[in-house]
Amino acid sequence: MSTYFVNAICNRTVHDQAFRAAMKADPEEAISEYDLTAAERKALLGGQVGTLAKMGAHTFLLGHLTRYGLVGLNDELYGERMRAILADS
Amino acid sequence: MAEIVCAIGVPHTPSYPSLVEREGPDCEVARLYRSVRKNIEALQPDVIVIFDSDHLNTFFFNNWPTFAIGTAPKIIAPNDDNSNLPKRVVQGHEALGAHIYASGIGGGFDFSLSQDFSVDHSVLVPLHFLTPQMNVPIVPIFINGLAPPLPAAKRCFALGEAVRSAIAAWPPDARVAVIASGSFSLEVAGPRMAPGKRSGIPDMEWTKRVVKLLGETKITELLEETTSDQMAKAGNVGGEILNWIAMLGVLGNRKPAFVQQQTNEGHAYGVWRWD
Repeated sequence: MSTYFVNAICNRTVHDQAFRAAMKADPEEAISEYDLTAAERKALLGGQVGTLAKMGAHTFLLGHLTRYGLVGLNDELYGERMRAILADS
Repeated sequence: MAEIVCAIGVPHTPSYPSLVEREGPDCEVARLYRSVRKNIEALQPDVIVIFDSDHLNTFFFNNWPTFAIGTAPKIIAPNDDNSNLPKRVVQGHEALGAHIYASGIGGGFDFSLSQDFSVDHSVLVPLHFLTPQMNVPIVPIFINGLAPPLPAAKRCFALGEAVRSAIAAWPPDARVAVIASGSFSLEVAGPRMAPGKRSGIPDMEWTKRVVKLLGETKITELLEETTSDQMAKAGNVGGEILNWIAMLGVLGNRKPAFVQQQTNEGHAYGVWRWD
């Protein structure tokens, strides 16, 4: 189930406003029920979108995290971390 | 029998409705959509078949179709908040949808079927500009353009041919317009975003090449060149070109009335007419 639940969490922020609010207030609690790997959980809570993209999460979906200002992201940080993939590859 | 009266290709950039509100009717986006809309107004279709790539708003990876057709009579749109468009009900054309579904299955195109669904900005933005009264019912045909592996260009072209045959065999005397929604090169929230933006155009040369091939009706070349590598190079939503390619399958070798790239964008506007 590689990154399936990471994608699912990102997607849910669009369609479930209560979940989006929970992700804003206490992301660790909001995602606690999801069956994420330890690496996925750490990267998601840390807003490490480049890491998540490299794990296989869909970049379009990851973009929702910055659209709603979740897990400490803003557009500048998001862009920096996402573009770092290109330097790595 | 039903007849196809025109085919249209447009982008669905979610910020365009507010951009046109802000910049007025003389801005390039407004002019380009208007030049397309004139054809719809002149040809008065009774129903629209729209090839579209869902942005993971209608479907998700728990059940992700390569090809799907929607036959709901009432369709909520948009189901996302990317545009400033208010939520509304769009009419679906259940009978034509069911006919294309059955015809496709019979002809070897194993569509997924949805009789209860909503659509995102990629359907509503084109309708907002082309049929602002929302008075022409639609049949959405969804093609996976966002989550590789994407269907092959030749398969999508053949899908368009099958849709053309299905429409031609539909008994009611209805006038049908076909719309393709999408870009040729676009990256949304991926590593090739332009600095300071949430999107970028990774392959402008490809966009120009596609527009040239469309303008010259060099469809064989376009099908050969639209490889999975090329679509990936064109951006994380670069597979939206498959909607245009399915539309080309509907066209056969018909020449365009016009195809125009928007300035510095990875997309274009095109019209093909049957008259």
